[in-house]
Amino acid sequence: MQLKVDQPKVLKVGKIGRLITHAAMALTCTLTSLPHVKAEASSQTEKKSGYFSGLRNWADWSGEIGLLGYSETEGRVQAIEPGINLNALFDGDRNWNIKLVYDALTGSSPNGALISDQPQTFTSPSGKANYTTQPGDIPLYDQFRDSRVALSTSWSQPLTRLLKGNIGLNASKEYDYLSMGLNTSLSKESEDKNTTYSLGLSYTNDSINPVGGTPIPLATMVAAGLPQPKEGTSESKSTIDLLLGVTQVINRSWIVQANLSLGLSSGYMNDPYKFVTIHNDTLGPSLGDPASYIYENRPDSRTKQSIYLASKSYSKYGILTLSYRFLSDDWGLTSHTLESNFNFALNRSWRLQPGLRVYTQSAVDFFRYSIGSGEALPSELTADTRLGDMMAITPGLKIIKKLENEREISLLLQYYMQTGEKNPATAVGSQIGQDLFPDLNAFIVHFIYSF
Amino acid sequence: MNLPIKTFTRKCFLKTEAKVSNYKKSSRTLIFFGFSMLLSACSSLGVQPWERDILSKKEMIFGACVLEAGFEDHTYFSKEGSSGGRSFSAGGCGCN
Repeated sequence: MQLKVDQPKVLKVGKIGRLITHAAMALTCTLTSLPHVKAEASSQTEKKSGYFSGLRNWADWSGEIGLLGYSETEGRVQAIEPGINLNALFDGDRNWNIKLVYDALTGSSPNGALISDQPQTFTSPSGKANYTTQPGDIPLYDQFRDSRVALSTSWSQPLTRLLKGNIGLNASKEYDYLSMGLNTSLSKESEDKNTTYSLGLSYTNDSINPVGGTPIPLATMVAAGLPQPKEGTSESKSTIDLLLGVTQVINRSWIVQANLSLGLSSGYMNDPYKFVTIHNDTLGPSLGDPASYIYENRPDSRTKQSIYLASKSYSKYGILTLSYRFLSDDWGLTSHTLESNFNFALNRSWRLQPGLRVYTQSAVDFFRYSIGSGEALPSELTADTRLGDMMAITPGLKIIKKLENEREISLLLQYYMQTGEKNPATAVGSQIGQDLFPDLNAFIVHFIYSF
Repeated sequence: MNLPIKTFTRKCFLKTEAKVSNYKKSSRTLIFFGFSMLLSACSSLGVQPWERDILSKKEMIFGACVLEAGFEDHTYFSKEGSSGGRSFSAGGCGCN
């Protein structure tokens, strides 16, 4: 089995990128040229007949077909995301995986400006049209449309009796964004197979082509039809991720996992469609009113580190899964994520899985709700609430129907509730009493058939 | 004229710094607690090959639901400032 690795034609890789590309290509060659290593847990593919018998007999197939439905309340972002994930298991515990996801988004997306008791007029990203937000409404860009296709594939196989190698490629494309990446990982089992150590490395290069051009950072928004404060049409960003993990079997009914990860990003990190409100800071009746809007500016590098701990334990009542992630970065963001679910049987073929996710986040150092017209502009500034102080809670319920031959259908229903500081101490004049961090609520549905 | 705003701003920053400091303290405690639990757990014996019946159930395998994990990561990546941890974090989208 030869894994075809096409060199992406549009990939703009730096020196590190080229090195990783070469290393990954070398590993691919190593993986595919090695003689078969007979794994202890080799699965013998049952020969089948009928339609697609050749394909079926070629490997032992498994996979999932699924659909994500995402709907924010108040007519904000709506998304439909169908996906397919296929695994082909060959003799010798060699595995090929391919995943394809399509994502269609529509609705209204917040543009970063603050709610005001005044009508607010904004210039669309293309610079050709205006749109107006009514007093008390969240400033939303309501012509938001996008679709995204994401494809990833990977090949894994044993390298020695206890060592396994994996190499993968991934690409995604949306109207103004192209992302291409490759990753590789090694996992080593202990002699008794109760401990698995893993080491992973990933490189991603993103090309961003903002609609209407790249806004000049911190430049003031200009009315539609006039020359826009834009520079260039294409930006790029690269990310390297390093992941160290260990999985440990504690006993017959308990297994735990711990991951340490480090992410290094550099390049264009701004959201080209987000504004920051400049408010009037002159004492008087117009104190706090929006005076103008500027384009945001974020640092051009980011270093993130996280620790992820997870546990699965079985009892006669069901299976409890718990996980916790602590993440911090050099932007000043710190977050805690706690997830839990409990999977239990209703009868021989039906299972239920209630779950809860709790997320808290502290703001990045350069987050401001708005900035006064008399203040000196900081070099970095964003009003994107996704980088502000916030908390999110997601309760959910998964209903699982077990079918024959280890197949199953599941329906996951979740409700995402994000909330932040609605009346920050920095609010002045007319801002006081306004909802400066509107809640974000969304219904989430996953429908998955696995076979 | 700017004085009230500067006072507000300073208060905000002090509040944020205090919050971040508290976060760091609680985070260190949690990490220490987590590692202690993990290390004590690792001293246990594990299982013999014939005792893997429960561990081989789909519900007991980390990362068994690939599509679901992908859907979740994409959703939260789009709405929050954090990503990754469970696997690689590179989002690869200009999410709104």
